[in-house]
Amino acid sequence: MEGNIGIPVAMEVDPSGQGSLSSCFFDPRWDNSISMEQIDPFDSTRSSIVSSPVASSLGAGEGDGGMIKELIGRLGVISSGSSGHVSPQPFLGHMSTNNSTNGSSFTTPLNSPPKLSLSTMGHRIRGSFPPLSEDCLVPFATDPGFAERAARFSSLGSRDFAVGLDGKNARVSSSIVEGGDSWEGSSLSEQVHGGETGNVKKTQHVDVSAKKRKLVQRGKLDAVTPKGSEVSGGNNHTSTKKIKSCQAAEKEGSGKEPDEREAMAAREEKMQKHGKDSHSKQQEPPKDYIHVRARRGQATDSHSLAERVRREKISQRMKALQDLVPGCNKITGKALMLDEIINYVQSLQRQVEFLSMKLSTLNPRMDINMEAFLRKDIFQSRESILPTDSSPAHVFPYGLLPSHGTIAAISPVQLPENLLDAATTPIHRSPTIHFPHIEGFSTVPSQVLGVWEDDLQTVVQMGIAPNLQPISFHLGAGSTEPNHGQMKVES
Amino acid sequence: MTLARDTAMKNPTNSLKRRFSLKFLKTLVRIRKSRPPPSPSASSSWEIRWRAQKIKLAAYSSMALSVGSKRTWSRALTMKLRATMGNRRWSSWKGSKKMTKRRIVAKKNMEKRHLEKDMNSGLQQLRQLVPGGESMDPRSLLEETAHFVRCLETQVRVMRSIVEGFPC
Repeated sequence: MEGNIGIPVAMEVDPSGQGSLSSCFFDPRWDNSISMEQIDPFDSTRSSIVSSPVASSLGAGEGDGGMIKELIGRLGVISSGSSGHVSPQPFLGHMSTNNSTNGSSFTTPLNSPPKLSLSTMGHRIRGSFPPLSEDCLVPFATDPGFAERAARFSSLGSRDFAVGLDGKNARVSSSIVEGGDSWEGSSLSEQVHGGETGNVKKTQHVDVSAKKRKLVQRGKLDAVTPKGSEVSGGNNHTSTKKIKSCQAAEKEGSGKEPDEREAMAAREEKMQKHGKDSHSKQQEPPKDYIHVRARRGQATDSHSLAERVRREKISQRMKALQDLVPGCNKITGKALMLDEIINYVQSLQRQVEFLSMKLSTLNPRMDINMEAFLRKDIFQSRESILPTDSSPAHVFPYGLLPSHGTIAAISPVQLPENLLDAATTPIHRSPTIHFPHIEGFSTVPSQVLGVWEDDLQTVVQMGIAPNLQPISFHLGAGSTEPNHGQMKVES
Repeated sequence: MTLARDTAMKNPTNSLKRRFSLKFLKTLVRIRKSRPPPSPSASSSWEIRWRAQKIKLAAYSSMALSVGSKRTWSRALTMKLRATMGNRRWSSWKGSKKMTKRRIVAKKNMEKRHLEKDMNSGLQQLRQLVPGGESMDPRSLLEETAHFVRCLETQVRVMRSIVEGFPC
């Protein structure tokens, strides 16, 4: 791991003719800088929502130092918390403002997992000109926390490094930002997919962007080398003093998973160099890391994303409703579905009305009965899990109906405990309940009954309603001949 | 068999059914014992209508009570029923459209937020059907509708089985 990290140098020659050589140094304070997280794809939607204000602030940050400051504060907050994920997409809008980055942004695979963490790094930014110096590399070795983290990363199988690079000789602490005239914040992130399994150790990508305002950016996209080191550079020439650099380095773990990814640090710095403008400004255009969750042809700005998420959720609910409402499965189209749902609710309410009307016209003689029901119900609800065992009830599943069996439609007497069971039957079932009854009932294996328990149509309990003749079933005692059952049902 | 029964007992809708039917049956007994107030017409049909309305109210209120206050629609329904019963205007419990200030504000917000988004008036109709739906955003409206529909089904099942339990 250390070996991987220790080679964070990106060299680039600016094609713009500046011929600036940039060397990047890392002095990562890992304590501050690394936040890493794995997000499963579903979390990404949430994270994108979270991140959208950040993105907007990024966009606004150009030209406004105060906004940058705010941004940095936010980034710091986000990265300090474990929840600080920023999905890369919000950066797209920002990056699109930088002309150079568009191409590279789309080079990232679409199916890459939405993992991106922003981290601010308290690190030193060394001057651009000095070559690699040992003192920059020392912290890697000396930092005890680093090894630990590296181990953790490797265990997770994804390695992310956020490295801040700056071409400037400046020391930047993330907490200190001076309001400048205009800053451009850029976030760089890059992803390397380890299709190459052979490269256990991937190199990192270093992205450096130093931008100055009023600067023409030249975007340069560099292909990703299999070695994994990639530098894309763009030079921005600055007449201004302020430089912001964002750095991102990603490294991919040796694991086969292409999806593992790393996140990036955004850092901003202000440098005031009036005299040095001519020589030192070296920019590497932001590498973008854009995790595109949008499918092809879909808009990727944050509003569209949020809207898409919202619609997605609504359609989920619609789907749940669709399962509830019978006959709604075949209907496509939201409006029709809503109509169907409305009709269903209305019909249910009408049924309630009708039933209450019917209940009000019931025979007054049934009052006593109802109290008995009620008592029974309380008793039953308290006592028994197995009402069919505690009551002389017979269960007659449909499937037991033999060819010689007789179905008798009787007006059933529903008892409270039966009521609960009977209530499991679908609403649309006809009110008359059929009791298939066969003589050979007792021969039915118990496990078959157990299987049909949920389907049981009715449970008939006898002898409760005083004004009714009890329903009697005659079961053949021997029941040797199931198909010749005799049955007597009276209502 | 016991396993199936146990799982059925753990089923929340099942316990909801049990709670609802208990409450409803109790109220039903009380309603049947009660005598209608002296009415202007004093006809039997009036009494029946009075009873039916009472029973309907009882059904809805026991449903709302058995659901509890964790759902928006049940809270709204309870409030509505309480207001209705307090006013003794049982005949038009749905029509208690007294606009409180809060509701007016909510309605304004709702209109602003949702009116343009309801490409079809379906959601608007749904809002009027689901208690408390006037001030919901579409997503929670759909959620509440799903729960409400489930509870209505339960209610209808229980009531129907009670009705079937009585020979007429």
